[in-house]
Amino acid sequence: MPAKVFSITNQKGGTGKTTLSMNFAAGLTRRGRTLVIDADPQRSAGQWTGLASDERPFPVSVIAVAGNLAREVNHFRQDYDYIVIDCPPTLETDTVSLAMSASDTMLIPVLPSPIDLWASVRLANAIEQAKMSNRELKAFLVINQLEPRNALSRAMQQALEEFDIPSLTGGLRRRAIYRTSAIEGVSVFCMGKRGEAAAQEIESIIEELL
Amino acid sequence: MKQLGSKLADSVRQVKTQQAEKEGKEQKVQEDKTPEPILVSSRPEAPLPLFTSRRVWPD
Ligand SMILES: Nc1ncnc2c1ncn2[C@@H]1O[C@H](COP(=O)(O)OP(=O)(O)O)[C@@H](O)[C@H]1O
Ligand SMILES: [Mg+2]
Repeated sequence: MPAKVFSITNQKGGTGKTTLSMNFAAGLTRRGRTLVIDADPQRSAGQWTGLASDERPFPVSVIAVAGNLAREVNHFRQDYDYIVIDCPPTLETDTVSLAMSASDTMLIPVLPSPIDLWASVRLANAIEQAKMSNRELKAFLVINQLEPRNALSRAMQQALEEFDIPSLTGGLRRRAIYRTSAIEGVSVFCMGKRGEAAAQEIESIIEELL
Repeated sequence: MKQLGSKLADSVRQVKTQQAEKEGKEQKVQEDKTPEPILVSSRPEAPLPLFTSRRVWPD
């Protein structure tokens, strides 16, 4: 079976694309052969694995792709069960449209803030257009940095209903462990008890999607 | 709380409308190849300035 391809995208920076990509991939690799494609020229995914120690390497290989993304995905499709593409924060280059044509599922991390929600409107439209040529394409919003006691976080659900794209039931809470695990070049699955709640969130997302 | 949710939802609806108008305009420009001036107004509800007949044809 060819790999299932997930693209993590949002044309805004700082919404959690790389954080979700790396932890999601680390969760997927427990189920099957997984590859991360770093399609962001900032190369954060590559930097993340570069910080891992030799004793505890990041469990998923990351390759950087600068050329034709769709062609590279096809190249690796037979060798992996899951491919996760960490997309750049832009809709102005053709990277994201190539990612949309090569993916089974788009995941769009969104922060619980009006400006981030508004920015997602354009992306949602772009995905609707991409569905015309990639009819099987699925897309989901994923709320990131949720703070259950924060009023805006709690108000998100109602606003998300305005989107044509459904949102996953599971989101990511704002947790320091998502940051500290990156310093060590590992995923939240490697952080023992401190990472347990975060790892559970990632697991729920995977279960919802597979 | 509920109010904040519907305010946020309203704001998304507004942005969707703005975006649809913008995309419609861009498509039209592409179709007839006559670029239209883009009006940017921070007060879209304010009427466009109209010359009164007195100012156009003074007595
Ligand atoms: N759920 C979270 N909790 C706490 N910090 C987070 C969370 N998700 C992302 N971050 C932090 O937010 C910043 C932006 O995340 P990042 O994954 O780099 O976003 P992007 O790839 O979209 O630019 C980083 O500093 C990251 O560590
Ligand atoms: Mg990134």
